[in-house]
Amino acid sequence: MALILLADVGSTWTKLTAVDSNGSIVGQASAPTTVGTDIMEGFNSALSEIRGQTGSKEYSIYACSSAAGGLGMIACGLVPELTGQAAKLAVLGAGAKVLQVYGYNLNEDDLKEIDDLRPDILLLAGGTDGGNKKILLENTQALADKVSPLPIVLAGNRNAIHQGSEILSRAGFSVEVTSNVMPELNRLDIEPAREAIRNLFMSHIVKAKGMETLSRRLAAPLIPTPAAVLAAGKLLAQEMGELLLVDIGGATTDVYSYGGIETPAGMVRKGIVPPWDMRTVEADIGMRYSLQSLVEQAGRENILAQAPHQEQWRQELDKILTYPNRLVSPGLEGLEIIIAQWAVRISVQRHAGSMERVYTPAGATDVLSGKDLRGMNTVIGVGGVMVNSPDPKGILTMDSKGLLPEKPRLMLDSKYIMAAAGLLAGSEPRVARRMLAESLAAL
Amino acid sequence: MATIVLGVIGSDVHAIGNRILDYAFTEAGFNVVNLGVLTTQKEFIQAAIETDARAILVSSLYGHGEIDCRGLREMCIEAGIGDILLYVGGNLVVGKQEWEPVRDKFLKMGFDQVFPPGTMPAEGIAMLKQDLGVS
Repeated sequence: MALILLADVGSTWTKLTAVDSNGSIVGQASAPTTVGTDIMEGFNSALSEIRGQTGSKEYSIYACSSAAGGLGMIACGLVPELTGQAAKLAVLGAGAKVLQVYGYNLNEDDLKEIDDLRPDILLLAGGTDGGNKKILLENTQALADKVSPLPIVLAGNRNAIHQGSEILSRAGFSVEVTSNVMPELNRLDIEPAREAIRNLFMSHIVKAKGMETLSRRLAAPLIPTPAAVLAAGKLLAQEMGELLLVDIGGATTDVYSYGGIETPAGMVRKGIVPPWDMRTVEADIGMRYSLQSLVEQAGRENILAQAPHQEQWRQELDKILTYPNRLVSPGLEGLEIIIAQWAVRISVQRHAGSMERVYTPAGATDVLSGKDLRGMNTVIGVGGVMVNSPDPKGILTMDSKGLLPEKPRLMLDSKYIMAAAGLLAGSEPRVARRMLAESLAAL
Repeated sequence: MATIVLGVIGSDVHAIGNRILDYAFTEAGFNVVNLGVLTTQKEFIQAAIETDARAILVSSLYGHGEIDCRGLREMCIEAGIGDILLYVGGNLVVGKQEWEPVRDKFLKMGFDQVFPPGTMPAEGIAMLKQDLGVS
């Protein structure tokens, strides 16, 4: 029987994993992503290594990609804290990168910025169902008048989207109409918008030369890599209960959580009820390209305070800040661990909601907004930074304050297969589960 | 069906009356967007914008209504919904004060209707239907 080949075409590496029909990993290889020439070059070079490992020539191929900047999107809503936030969460949940978020009427500057940013897709929301129609319609008209056609997902007030779609279609935009991301105040319904984004990604977005060639060989449509990771985590959460995934990269840190949306007795929830499966991305928290802002957030002195030899770390930190492609010098891996630990702390803290004690004449009341991560049983480290670290446990260890996980067990995606397994989460969940079980290691 | 935004303003956790109003106005045919207790002015206004509400119904039961409600009309004007109907009711001030001056104070603040303690929901419903010109 043909083996399954799972490809993760990343921004720097193309990683291939071959599994048999039982989900046992029978081959793994990677090669630099050749986005400058044709991505098939890198793919084929990793594939020939896989062929050597497995002896097999026939594969059923699945792939995800974040090459050439991934799926870049813009989100537009009406009130920034309401449909603006809902639109942003839908974009993140579809595995896209948020280039910009706009609220209220798009003005001339916004329209020019949208035209300059040239997003792959723009998600346009605004108004609850039966609510405000005016702003959504004015925004569709403004886009039609001032911006060159681009793929649009319309996910706003159901009483306005068809008229809006007509305005945009007439101006040459490709439009996917879907359900409102916020049908009622503070209630999200983002899965249909995510689906629409995936459909447009599939049919319209060719990010790099060779992507179409690869697409033609696939058993299922190409999806954005974070969408695959989100799907893998969902499969795990169905078995293991509420959990959190953290993926530290060079430029960003992604956090995925499953659960944490119940309102504990005696508390009052305010604002949007967050999605059960939620992804956030911290664009200013990363190990290299965003190191400067990470260090600023963490506090340089806080990082150096943990150094055995402060001066040595100080010099090393300056070097990697200046040369992001540099690896840390042997013997100074501790610095890398501390930086990664701060990346986890800051990103998870931002992912979590907030709890504020309000003193009222009737006594103290706790007001909750966003996600309550206290009940997350498991925290899983995902990605190269964790896999290659001598101390992934140290990286994932956080203080259990506020709404952060209270007593989670820490685990590692040791074979780096989260995205690969996610590719099979829908069609072959049994195989995906086996792969995850083989890769997950307790820390 | 007219949409209305309902909530208890400020650091006020009186939930029961809020639920009764939610039930009564829904039964009367309104589309009620209920923000519940501990609602800020900003939340009332944002909800009204997003849902295209025709009225904001503010409750205050704990006696600090005056300070919590001050400036709400101005903030609505600033946010582009200056014409929206604003109702307020409950125990708006501390102690047993004379009703007329209290009502005048809230009318002056820009509220369209001000209801004393003990008002039955039916009264507010009738008034709102009249103000909105719906039956």
